Amino acid sequence: MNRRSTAVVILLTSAVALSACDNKKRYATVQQCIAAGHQMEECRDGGQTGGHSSVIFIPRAGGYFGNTYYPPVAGYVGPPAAVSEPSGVSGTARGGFGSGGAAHPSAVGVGE
Amino acid sequence: MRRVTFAEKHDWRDKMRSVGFDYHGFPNDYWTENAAWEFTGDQIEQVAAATDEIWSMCKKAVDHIVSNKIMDRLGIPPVLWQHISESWEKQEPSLYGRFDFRYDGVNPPKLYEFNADTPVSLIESAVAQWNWLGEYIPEGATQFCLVHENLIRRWSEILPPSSLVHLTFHGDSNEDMCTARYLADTAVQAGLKTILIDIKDIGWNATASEFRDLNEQKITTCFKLYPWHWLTNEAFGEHIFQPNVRWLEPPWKILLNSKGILPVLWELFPDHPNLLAAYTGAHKFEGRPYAAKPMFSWGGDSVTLYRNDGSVIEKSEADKKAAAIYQDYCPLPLIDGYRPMIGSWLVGDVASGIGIRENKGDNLITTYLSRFISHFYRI
Repeated sequence: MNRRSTAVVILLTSAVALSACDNKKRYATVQQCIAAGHQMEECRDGGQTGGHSSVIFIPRAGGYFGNTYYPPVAGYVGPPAAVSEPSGVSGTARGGFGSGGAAHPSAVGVGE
Repeated sequence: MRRVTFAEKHDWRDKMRSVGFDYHGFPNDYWTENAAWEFTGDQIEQVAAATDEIWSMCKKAVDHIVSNKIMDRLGIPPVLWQHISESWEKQEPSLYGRFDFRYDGVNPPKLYEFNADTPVSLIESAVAQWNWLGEYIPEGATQFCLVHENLIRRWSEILPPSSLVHLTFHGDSNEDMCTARYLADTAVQAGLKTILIDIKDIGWNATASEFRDLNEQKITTCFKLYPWHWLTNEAFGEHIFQPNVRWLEPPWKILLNSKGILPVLWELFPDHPNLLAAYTGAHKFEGRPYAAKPMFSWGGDSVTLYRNDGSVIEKSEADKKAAAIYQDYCPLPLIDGYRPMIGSWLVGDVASGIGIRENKGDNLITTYLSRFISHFYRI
């Protein structure tokens, strides 16, 4: 059995959380979900099958993510930046990266 | 493997936006909820096994290239050779990558290329399609979707707790910014500290010989959603290999990002069931159809497909870079009127999930315009 098989078996049948993070766990039954310390309303049994659903989602309160940068805000451009010192004061030059993107033909980003 | 249709829910746009996926409509209904690809568990196993296998071959290929000093064959400029070699010899860790496969549910997955340096469609694969599953098939099905968990795990393997990592991206692209933001969040969940910074805002302090962010904070570890071969050609490129900064992806990943890796893999592992024949000369395909690709390109740019008589089957219009690599013609399968391409995610050394891009039947080259479609398999 390879690593993938192991992971899938864990995912589907062992009701073991796949990671230490609480953001996305999957339990085999609602009962197991509750036994792991979640509230009933957290253990969303989409099939309403009385606990026999195979896939249970546990969204973390406040969203999927760690909430450091989430929930996202329209126009978000990262954490607040300090005012950049004028060139020559700090001795730090800027703008030496990023020119490649200007020549890139697509507006959808430079990722692949 | 089949394409299944669904009646989309009216509020899906708001829900996708709420999980950080706010470029779902660009370009041209990029994301859709009215269809998904269904697999069997065995098929998922087949893709995952191919991912593991090819990753193992890729590492052997990098070792071969470095040992035999043949980076010129991959279009790598000489100024990078030593840095790449050192990076490989130190076994600098990799975070993630995505293999693009031709797969029809029956025959072995075939590698089209490896997006090893700046892979995107990450939020779609790790988050959005998982949410889709919960909305549309909440019972009796699951997904090959371990990217999120494995990214968190991988960050904690790469860096000690509380380490600071800067994540840089091209600020003109909302997609890139969202991707960097998502990766930052997985790093935070791994116990790291993160700072996001537009690539154009990275500063170089000549006195201290260090890169700095906008707060004059020294950059010591930097994840870059920006390709190596651009970084090294820009104004600060001469400083990039300072020993006091660690880059993710590491320099050796550029070898795998070059399509020049495809002929090397074929040379080292001829007739491997997960590879397509690939060469640096088109004459090897005389009388047979083939695909021509540049050494470095994105999203299907500058790819041309040729018939066995040399006439063009299909040609991507964008970018128009010179062809450098020639690969056996192996068109995407036509299933239920669509042509899916499997993007198989690797996080660290672990096959971690898939994301699917599809075209309608006439289009053979997967491009930026190809839609992202969720997947599932029955339990």
